[in-house]
Amino acid sequence: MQWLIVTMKEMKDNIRDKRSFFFAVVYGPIFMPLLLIMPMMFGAKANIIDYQATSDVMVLGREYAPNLVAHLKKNNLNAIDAPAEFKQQIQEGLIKVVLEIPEGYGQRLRTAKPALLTLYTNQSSKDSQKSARHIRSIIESYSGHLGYWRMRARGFDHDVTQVIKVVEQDLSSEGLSGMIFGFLTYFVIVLTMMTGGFYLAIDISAGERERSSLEPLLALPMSRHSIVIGKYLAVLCFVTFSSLLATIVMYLLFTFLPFGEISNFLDLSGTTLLRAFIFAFPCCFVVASLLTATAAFTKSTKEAQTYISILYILPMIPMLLGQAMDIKSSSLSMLIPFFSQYTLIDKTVKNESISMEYLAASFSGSLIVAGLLLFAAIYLYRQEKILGN
Amino acid sequence: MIEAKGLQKYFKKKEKGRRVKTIHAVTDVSFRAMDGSITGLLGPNGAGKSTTLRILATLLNADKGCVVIDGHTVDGNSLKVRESIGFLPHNSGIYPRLSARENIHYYARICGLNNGEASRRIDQLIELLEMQDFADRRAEGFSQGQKTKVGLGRALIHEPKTLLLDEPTNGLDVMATRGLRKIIRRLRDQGHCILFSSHIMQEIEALCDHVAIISEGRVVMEGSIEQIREQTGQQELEDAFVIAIGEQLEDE
Repeated sequence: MQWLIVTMKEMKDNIRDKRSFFFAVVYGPIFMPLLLIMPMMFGAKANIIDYQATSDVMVLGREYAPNLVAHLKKNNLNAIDAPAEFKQQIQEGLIKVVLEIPEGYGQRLRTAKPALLTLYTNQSSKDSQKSARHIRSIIESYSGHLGYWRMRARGFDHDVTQVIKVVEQDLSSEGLSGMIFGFLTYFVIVLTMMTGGFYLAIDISAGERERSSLEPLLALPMSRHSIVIGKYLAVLCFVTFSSLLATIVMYLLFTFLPFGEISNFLDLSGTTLLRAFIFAFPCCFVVASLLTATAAFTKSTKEAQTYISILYILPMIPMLLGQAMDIKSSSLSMLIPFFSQYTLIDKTVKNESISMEYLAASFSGSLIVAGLLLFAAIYLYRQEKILGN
Repeated sequence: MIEAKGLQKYFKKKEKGRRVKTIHAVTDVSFRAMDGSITGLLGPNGAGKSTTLRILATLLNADKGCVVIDGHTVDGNSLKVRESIGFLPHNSGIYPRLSARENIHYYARICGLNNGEASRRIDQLIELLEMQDFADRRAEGFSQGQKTKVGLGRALIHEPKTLLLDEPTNGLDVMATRGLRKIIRRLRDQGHCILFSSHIMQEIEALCDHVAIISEGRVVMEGSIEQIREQTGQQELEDAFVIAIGEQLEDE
């Protein structure tokens, strides 16, 4: 059980290291979700219209269009009077939009002329744009409804006016926003693995070499593979802990921040995030052995930092290649580490079904790669070059 | 006991372009270090002392020659050899975020001692090495002397018969050096075989019972200090050393 002694010592030693602790507990698990998820969440919130929620809309001259006002109310928009100086208030961002109904609105409707309504907006404000889209869509539905009956009253079939109709069906659960959130969840979990093990991996190999503590350690009655496995397990613990913490932080963000309408489109529940973490878990083995092998390969702490910083993009490469080359999910492609985890997390965020065959391929492919990298690390530790000079 | 015969060690070093240069770090090292005796490996910087100690500590494989430590051949029986040696490298190599006691405890556990045995043995070593004042402090900020004592404590934790000390007095002040000498003599008196590398004549003269002079990767002379003086016809060890490595004495 010498490997366990090495693991315990490395963990204790590095918990006391402020830099290792910062990267494992603060930088990855807390900063990363805050910096990446929060802006995306707010961005998505600005784009998603909740038609179920009741809200007020400021209307100028609502007495000229009682039926339109009733239609708005039926669609959860309460018309209220706009203040006299509304234009300035829209510019200042105090009011989102104002709908102006002119005095002759009813007369134009009666004479079957286009009735002009004015929507005052502020295109520099996302909130104003969102409200404008909301009102416009409700009014367009009202206009279509009136147009239909107008044609019927004149004995025409309304369909005559509909020359071509394109029906677009987005078969993904929620379209682009789901893709982004699938990617973000994967990105945060996997990148946190890298940041979590980064400092520890460097400290326990290149750092140990620079401190001259590697020589007496290697001269102890302990096999090289016990040393590497001990160190590897310490990195694995940090990597796993960091990504688990990041998942918990994401759960707290999704649960306690007011993003209610997004949950209508995306499944961001605790169960989904737990599943995402479980699917990403094999990456912990790959990342830990990748960091251990790289740190063993390098001659100094600085060199290790450079190499591992470059490795940060590695989890993105299979995923980006998969998208660029349009690689389809199959039992074979799911053997590829990082690509398979991204695919599984993407599917789980979109609430799509996942086959056991894919899961098995994803786990086994990643474990094989992790094992090969671990062998590479053991091989490097058996070389005289591990001493560095 | 250490018995080294005809050790050779080469390194390949990449130079500009694709050229590879062969560096002859050790070309012919043979010597014997007995139990209950302090053997000095004396040589200038770059003579091959550290490489020789690394071969003895099983960290490097000799390209030629063989070493037997306490009846175990270094090549191919490394774990057995490692059980019988305690190695203190240049700079001690201790962990700064662990206390002196934790540093030694880590090695004790790796060497197979359980927690109780380790604690008892560490208490003995703290007393032997006079580490009471700093045993429970984290090693960050330790003086070189304190670091050397911790390193020595770690090397001794599994009660090895043979001790390999790579320039242990480097960076120590006079009092710390004298204190370390006292400890090393005490270990010698307990029957340990101690191999002590240094490039400082006074150190070797003050401490060693037996000396192997190493120059350009070769042991050029071996014996007690008296024997070396006799062989070179010099009274001063420094002069004897200059003659032994084949240099001319300067006229005063």
